[in-house]
Amino acid sequence: MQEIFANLALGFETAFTLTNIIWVFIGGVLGTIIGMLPGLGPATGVAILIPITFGMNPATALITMCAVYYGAMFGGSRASIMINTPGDAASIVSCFDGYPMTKQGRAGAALAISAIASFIGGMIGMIFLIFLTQPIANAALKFGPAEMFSLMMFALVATISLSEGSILKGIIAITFGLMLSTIGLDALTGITRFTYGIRSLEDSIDFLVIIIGVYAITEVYKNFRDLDTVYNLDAKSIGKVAITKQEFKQSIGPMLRATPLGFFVGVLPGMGATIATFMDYAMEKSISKHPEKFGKGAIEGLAGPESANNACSCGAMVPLLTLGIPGSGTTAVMLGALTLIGVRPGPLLFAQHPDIAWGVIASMLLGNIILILINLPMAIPLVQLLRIPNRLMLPSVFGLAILGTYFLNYSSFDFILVMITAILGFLFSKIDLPIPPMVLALILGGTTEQTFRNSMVLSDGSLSILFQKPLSAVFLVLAAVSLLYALIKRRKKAA
Amino acid sequence: MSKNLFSGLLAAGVGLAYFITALLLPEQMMGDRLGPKVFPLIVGAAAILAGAGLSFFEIWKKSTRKDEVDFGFKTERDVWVKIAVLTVAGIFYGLSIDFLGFILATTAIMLVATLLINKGHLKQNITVSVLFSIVSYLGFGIALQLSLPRGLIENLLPF
Amino acid sequence: MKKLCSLFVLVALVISVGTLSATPGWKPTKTIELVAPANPGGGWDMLCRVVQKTLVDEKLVEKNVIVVNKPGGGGAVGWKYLEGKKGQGEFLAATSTLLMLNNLLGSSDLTYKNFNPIAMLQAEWIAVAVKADSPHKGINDLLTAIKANPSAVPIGVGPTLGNNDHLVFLSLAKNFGIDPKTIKFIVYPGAGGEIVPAVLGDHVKATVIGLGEVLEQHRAGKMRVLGITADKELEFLPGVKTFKNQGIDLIFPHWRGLIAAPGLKPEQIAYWDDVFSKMVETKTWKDQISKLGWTNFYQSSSVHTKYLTEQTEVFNDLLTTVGLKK
Repeated sequence: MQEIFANLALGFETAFTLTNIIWVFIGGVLGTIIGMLPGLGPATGVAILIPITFGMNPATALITMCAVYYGAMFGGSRASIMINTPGDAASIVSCFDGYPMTKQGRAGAALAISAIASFIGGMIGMIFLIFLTQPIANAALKFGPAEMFSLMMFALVATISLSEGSILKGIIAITFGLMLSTIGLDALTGITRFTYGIRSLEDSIDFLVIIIGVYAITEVYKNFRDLDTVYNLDAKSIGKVAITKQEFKQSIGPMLRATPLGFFVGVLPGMGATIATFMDYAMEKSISKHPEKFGKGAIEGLAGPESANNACSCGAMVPLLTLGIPGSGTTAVMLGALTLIGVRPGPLLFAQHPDIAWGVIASMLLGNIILILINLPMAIPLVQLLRIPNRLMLPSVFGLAILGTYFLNYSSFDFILVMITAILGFLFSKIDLPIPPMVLALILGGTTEQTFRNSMVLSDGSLSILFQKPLSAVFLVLAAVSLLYALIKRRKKAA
Repeated sequence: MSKNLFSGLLAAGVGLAYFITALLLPEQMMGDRLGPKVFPLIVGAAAILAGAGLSFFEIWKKSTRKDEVDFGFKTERDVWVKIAVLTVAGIFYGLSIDFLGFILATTAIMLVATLLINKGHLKQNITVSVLFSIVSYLGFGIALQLSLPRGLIENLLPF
Repeated sequence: MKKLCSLFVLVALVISVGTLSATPGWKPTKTIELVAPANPGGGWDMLCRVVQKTLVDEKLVEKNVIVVNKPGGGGAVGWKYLEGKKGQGEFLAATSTLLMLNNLLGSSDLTYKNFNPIAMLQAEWIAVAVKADSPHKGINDLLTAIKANPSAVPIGVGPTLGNNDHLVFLSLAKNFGIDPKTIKFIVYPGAGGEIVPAVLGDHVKATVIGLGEVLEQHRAGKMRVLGITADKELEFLPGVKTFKNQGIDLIFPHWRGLIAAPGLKPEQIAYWDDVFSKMVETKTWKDQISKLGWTNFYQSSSVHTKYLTEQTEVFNDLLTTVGLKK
């Protein structure tokens, strides 16, 4: 224990230089802005920084990159809350209750709680990172293909409970998402599937294109009926970026529950913040006393996932710092950048470069504080944007969606996809087919299939492997329970 | 037709088409024992079952209140016209951006969108469109160094 | 004969020097784009970024250099983008054996002939590695175990079957008299980031992977490299034997290089030959690649083109022998 504090002191010594603090500030602002835009995520943000980091010492470079990563996490949900357009996959969930809050004139509260929840998730996540790194890294190694597959099944089934209406409709939405995920080159064998002769489809469908389609552009279409309404905002409350005591009380439980969940999911290789946020939202909804308010502006539904998201990015640092392997796309870029400036993180990073490893941890604590100081005031001008009337707001959202689509892959074909999915999203809303399970299934589909196939290869084709591994069995049981629970709840409602 | 019945039939139909396509996939490849075929077959079957089930329940308990599906092709015609125009504009943007360049293409699509949604404010719309494309070019192309096509007006750009 | 040869070389030298100085020469007139046909963080991306850093730090070019990531289609998306830049010398893209493999396995119609090969720059040797507490001490132990009971020895490979790593293991097995069809491959599309934890967590018994991905694990004593595809023992990795030293005749560089757009003029190619021949001699370059576990492996444009012609044949044979191509 004492050793940890001594190391942490070393870390603070490294981190607390004026240069570093300035860079954390710059990185945090840059990350927040990049995170807000659909199509540009933390990975792009860090990649943009790489040439700038060439001249830095390794600690400053890593600290700056972490600040961008963190900033993007803070910024990702801004656009979700304001215009129902997720900045990245992890902030889809923030749309569910954040956007309804905006429509009710509570954008200030939504932006405030999202920053506060991100902060709390990040801070507690950091504490986990400081004290639990080694045991958690070891626990994560226990996750083989079978465990991963069962976890995926649990996450997918849990999303059914997110939406109202028939469970079968939820299942249909999941199968649609999984179908979309199998289009293109099969990752394992290189065979093309379901492309129907369209070459551009071989490259698989980028789920971010679909997200931009069914959220941003579909939202524009839905608003076409009432073009002249301005958001129903109370002129007095518009500038107020704060939450009430009551709102904070409601949110604190979800935030504390979300953090460990998000952190651990972040540690697992190949898992991301998306799955953590979805799972947390489903959990909060199912234990809530008033689940009917979820999706209609429940502050708990925004606070929990926001904390999960930031805790997850702390978790993703665990494999990078302990094993030198990237736990997410963003940390992969960071690993590359570090190598370029002379540090190759590996299992010996803590032993060989304690100043860097602990400096990063200390700077992440610092970064969190700076980011909330940036984000709360930044919400004030953001809220003012809502004064823009719909007839100018909608074209701008459409324009941003178009730019986001282009920045994803610079591909002409993506525009055909995005326009088609926007129409489909609009049609699906007319037959009440839920979008979230479909999007999550599309995101997780590739990993679901790959882990299923790998499990089957390992077991020589026997499904029993999914039940023999204890952890895997636990997740399958949880999946079954949550399905039953959803069934019973709906029966009760109907009766 | 009710919303549920429509969704059920849609799922069953799409599922069936998908299932049949999956059947035509090759069996397996070296070192890959399950093959690229099994997972899609399971997914396709699940879609058919869920779709058929939903349709079946819907027809069976006919007495409950009807939740009729209405896409509004007739009642909201002007909405659909706007959607159609934006769809064509979006696809055209993707196809023309390399030739026109980022600034021209973005200005054009923003003009279409604003003229469509913000009718009758020509000056305002032109200002918004031009500003939107130039500011985004400066921000992404210059400040963030993303590689954006300059296109037709390549040599006229001061930056 | 010898004299004739040297005369030839001399003449060639004179001519090439002559052309270099005589022509007005070409220089990039706008920002130089290095296209990495993959996501940030992978091998191609790293190559582009190391080249970018070296060119800028060592002031080898006068224009700005940026790295552009165009992932997709096993490289095809980025290469197609390059193909469209006909005659523009400012565009270079990373390439590797995958350009050949994709074509030979039928998943792409692009070959080096669609471009101007500029240079081969580095090679990364491929390693077979196990967890540190594994009973297998050398490649032959592992292969013997597979031969006895292939089902008990799953091998981790990624990101897809049919890549260099997979091909290496198939050839090792073939050499050892194992039917390649019996080997149990577990495929991880996340490559190193997923394979290393899978080995450490005992979900697979061994992996075949680029040396750089397991180098730090090996040094930290968490994993053990059983053998590498190099021609001789590596300076930075003492004690690790090549496969050749262990009696299996397999030398396999996973090289990476750069190609340029089609339709370039000779002076444009000459410019890059000049730049890259200087670049591979710089300290920045040498430092960077050794950190990544790479080996310097420079070939100029003309040598590389010839090499590609030969290698296409070699790969074609290899793929047929191990049964990936019919």
